Amino acid sequence: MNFVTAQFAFFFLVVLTLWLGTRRVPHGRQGLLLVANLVFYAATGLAFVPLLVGVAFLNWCIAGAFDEAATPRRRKLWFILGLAGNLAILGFFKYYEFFLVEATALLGLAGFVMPIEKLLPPGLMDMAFPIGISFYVFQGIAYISDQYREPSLRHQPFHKVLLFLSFFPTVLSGPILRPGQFFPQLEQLTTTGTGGKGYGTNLTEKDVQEGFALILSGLFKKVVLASYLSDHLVRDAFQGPEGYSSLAMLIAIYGYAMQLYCDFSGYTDLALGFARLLGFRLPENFNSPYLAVNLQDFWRRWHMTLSSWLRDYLYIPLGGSRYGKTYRNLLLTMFLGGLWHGAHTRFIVWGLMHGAGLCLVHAFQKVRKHFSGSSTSTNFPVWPGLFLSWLLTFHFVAVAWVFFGAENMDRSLEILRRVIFWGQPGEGFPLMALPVILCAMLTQVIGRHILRNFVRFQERIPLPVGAAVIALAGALLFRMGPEGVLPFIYFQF
Amino acid sequence: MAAPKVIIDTATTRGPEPKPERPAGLLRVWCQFVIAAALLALFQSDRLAGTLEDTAAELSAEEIILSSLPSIPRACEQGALALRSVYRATAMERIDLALSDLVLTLSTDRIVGKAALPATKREHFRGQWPFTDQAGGPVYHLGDQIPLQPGKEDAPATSPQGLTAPSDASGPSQAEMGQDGSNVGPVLENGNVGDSQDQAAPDLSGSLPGAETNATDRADIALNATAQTIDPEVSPKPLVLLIGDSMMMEGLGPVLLRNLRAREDLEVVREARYSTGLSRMDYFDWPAHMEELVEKYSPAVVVITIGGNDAQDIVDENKKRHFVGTDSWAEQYQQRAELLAQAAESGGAAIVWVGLPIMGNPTHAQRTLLLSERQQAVCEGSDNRIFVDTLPLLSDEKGEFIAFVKNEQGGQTRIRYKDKIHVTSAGGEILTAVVVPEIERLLADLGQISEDTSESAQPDDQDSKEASSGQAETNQPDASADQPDKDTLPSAPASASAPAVCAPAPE
Repeated sequence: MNFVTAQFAFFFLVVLTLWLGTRRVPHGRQGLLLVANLVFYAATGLAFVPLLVGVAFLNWCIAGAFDEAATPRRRKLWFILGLAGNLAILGFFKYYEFFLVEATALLGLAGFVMPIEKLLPPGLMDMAFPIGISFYVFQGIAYISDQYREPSLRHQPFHKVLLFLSFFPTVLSGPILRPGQFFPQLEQLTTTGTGGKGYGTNLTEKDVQEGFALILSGLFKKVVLASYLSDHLVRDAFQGPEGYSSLAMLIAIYGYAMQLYCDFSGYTDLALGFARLLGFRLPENFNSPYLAVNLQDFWRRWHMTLSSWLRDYLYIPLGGSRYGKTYRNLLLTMFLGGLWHGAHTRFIVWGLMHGAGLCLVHAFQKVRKHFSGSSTSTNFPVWPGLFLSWLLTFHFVAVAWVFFGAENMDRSLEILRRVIFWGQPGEGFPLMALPVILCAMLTQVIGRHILRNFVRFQERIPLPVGAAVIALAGALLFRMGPEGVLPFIYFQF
Repeated sequence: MAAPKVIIDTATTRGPEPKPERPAGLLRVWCQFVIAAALLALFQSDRLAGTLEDTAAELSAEEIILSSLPSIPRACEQGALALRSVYRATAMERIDLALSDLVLTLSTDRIVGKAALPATKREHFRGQWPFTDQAGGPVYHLGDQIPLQPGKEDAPATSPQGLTAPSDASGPSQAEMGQDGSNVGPVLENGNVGDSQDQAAPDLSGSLPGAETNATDRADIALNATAQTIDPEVSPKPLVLLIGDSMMMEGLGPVLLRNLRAREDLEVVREARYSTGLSRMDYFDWPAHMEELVEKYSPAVVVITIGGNDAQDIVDENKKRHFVGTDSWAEQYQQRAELLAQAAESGGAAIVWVGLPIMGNPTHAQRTLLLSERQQAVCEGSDNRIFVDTLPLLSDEKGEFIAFVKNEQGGQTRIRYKDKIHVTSAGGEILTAVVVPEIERLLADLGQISEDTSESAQPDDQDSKEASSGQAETNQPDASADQPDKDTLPSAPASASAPAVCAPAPE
């Protein structure tokens, strides 16, 4: 179920109404949220609800086994087992077809020709990809990892683990929640508090208006900006770069960078907004990523919950910056990050590009520190240097996105070829793409400011007027977008 | 006497205490959400009604859930229709139109598109800066006021070459057209021009059961438009227009686009739309949109692939529901397909109608087979319409759905996505290998391209070679190499070795 549909609006209205009605029912809210989560996920694929429940059950069992384990060695064994189980589930659904296709190719070379459908039970090859599996498996890993590292943490009952993994605003594409962020809020919002107040004890008027503002912000980014860029330039240019001029291709590359940001950040804003209306504060996923002045900075701003997850549960366990293995670990982390997006060469190239870029930044900072004595002091003028750093970083990221967004390596290289060998003839680009790209950039510069002022304005006006403003703004945004909204890009991961 | 104590109020010296944040009750949240959602639903009621059944053809788990609760979507639909009628009857419509106008002023591309400064974007923005009009006409930029012809609010949209299509059957004289082709009427949000909306949007009440009158009007329009729009001096290359639904956006569309763009002697434009079809013309009116596209581009050939979303009930102009699979439903569908074909031909274009491939879900496959039959029937008996039967192309020797074909390395290549509906890029290559020769043949017959260049359709990359080889190994034809002879066209059967060509052989 897409957030930008009438079906979801109806679903959310029902959930919100029942959420209001069950505030004094003991455990009523948890039950309601659980049902809502499962219905929401079933709407994307009924067949995968057991999978979601199964992943939650696996992680709950593993965390329970920690308590029972008599020795640290046994705890570690259980942890490795849990990790392997989670990764096996994720790996199977993401890569089984890739391995089968390669296996049949090898068998074919050896003279054993076998239809691929016969290698698996009927229907399995055409089984749809379970949307959001990466995100809830990552949360499952985070849960057992935290339980493993901190034995003092309370083991949660099964239904709460399931609530954590299946929380409907985040289950499809994040933000990736941490147990420490979710469970205390769940506790506060779903159990009757002092004075029987329960829900609403921490919800302020500002929160409510921020929730609505985030929803409008998400709609603007997704329905207006991302849809425009996709419909009018990026899709065509990336599908058939051969027909586009060098200038148009360059604008399409910028356009894709902005489309991806608006699509994913728009989704996140919607998720944050809907969760906020229920009283949950979710972690931010984006912090003006295209204003980053180096790649390290970029990864602190882009898909923050994934990059911090990779840092905490992959990079640091690999050894982090210790033992002089920084470069190896950076490369390995980004390689696996690329592979996570899919078993395609282009994703691996994208990951390795970022890995190599991070290594370069790291090496540069080390050299500069060596010569200047400090990583912060510099003899160069600050602003020109910052501008150049920003320009370089943005272009590096945008070029890497080409591998991420194009259909295959051939298409990626053709896109880049047309820009590198400047002056290629071909179709141009719609002029409107330029202000849209600029607008997407501006959302990162002044987006927060606008959001803050909108919230202040909404706080000052009466409720019905505020509702009318929201409705008018929403209608305007929908009118500016195309009819029908495409699924979010990150649903496929 | 003791000195008075000086009490320093630290709070006041620090400035006023920050105002505590106002707590908000959930009831307030709920009220605000409900009011906002209701108002938004009113503003969006025309689109809202269309979204409720969009997923019906996908036969997904969502449908299973919805079908188990049949009253909810129906009630929603009825509610939306009721809302819509209320909305139509009140001042909300005017607000909506005002909003549309406001959006249009913000959305320059639509104005540029409708004012039709270029015949295609391609000519207009061919990497030039500043962008100039080929025909020397003025170029409009963001915020520019596009001049209207005095007293001609319903003037037709024009192209930069001074090409135009009339707003009524008689059409305006050349003198009524702007010298620079810049005269446009007020453009509504849906792209119709001023008062000519009635013409652009087909009046189903008059046209669907008895489509003759409207069809005649359209034919007249076509003749007029043809006479006035073809100007080889300005547009020397024939233009191929690709339209349809997601099939044209993914899989077939991109490959076809790349393949045709590789040719120097053609222009190609894709104007497909996701989630559209002919069953829900209240949601998106393809025939009306087609007329606008014909005005805008003056295509020589229109390639249509549509119907993936059409295996659902049709509600006709009398609000009568025709249930999917029934005879009346098929008849309604054929009439709508005919309207689309007539609209496509209104500028003198020929049509290549690419039928739907076999679907993986048996129920959906059965329904789409019905659709394909009706689309094929529309193409029968016309010199200008060719139907390409794709059913045998993406199926096995028994005619059953397949998702993979063997490639020349002995491995497997996926030709259908897991939804069992859409084709992958490799599947698109197989279809393209059959469709492109048909386009070339039509263009050659029309004299738009030379005969010797019409046999150059080859898949354009490695994927295509794999797909083609896979196709051959699953007893599928290599259609690009096995084209039907012109002389055999009239009686060419819908076999696995050739597309089903329904049109009689051209003279």
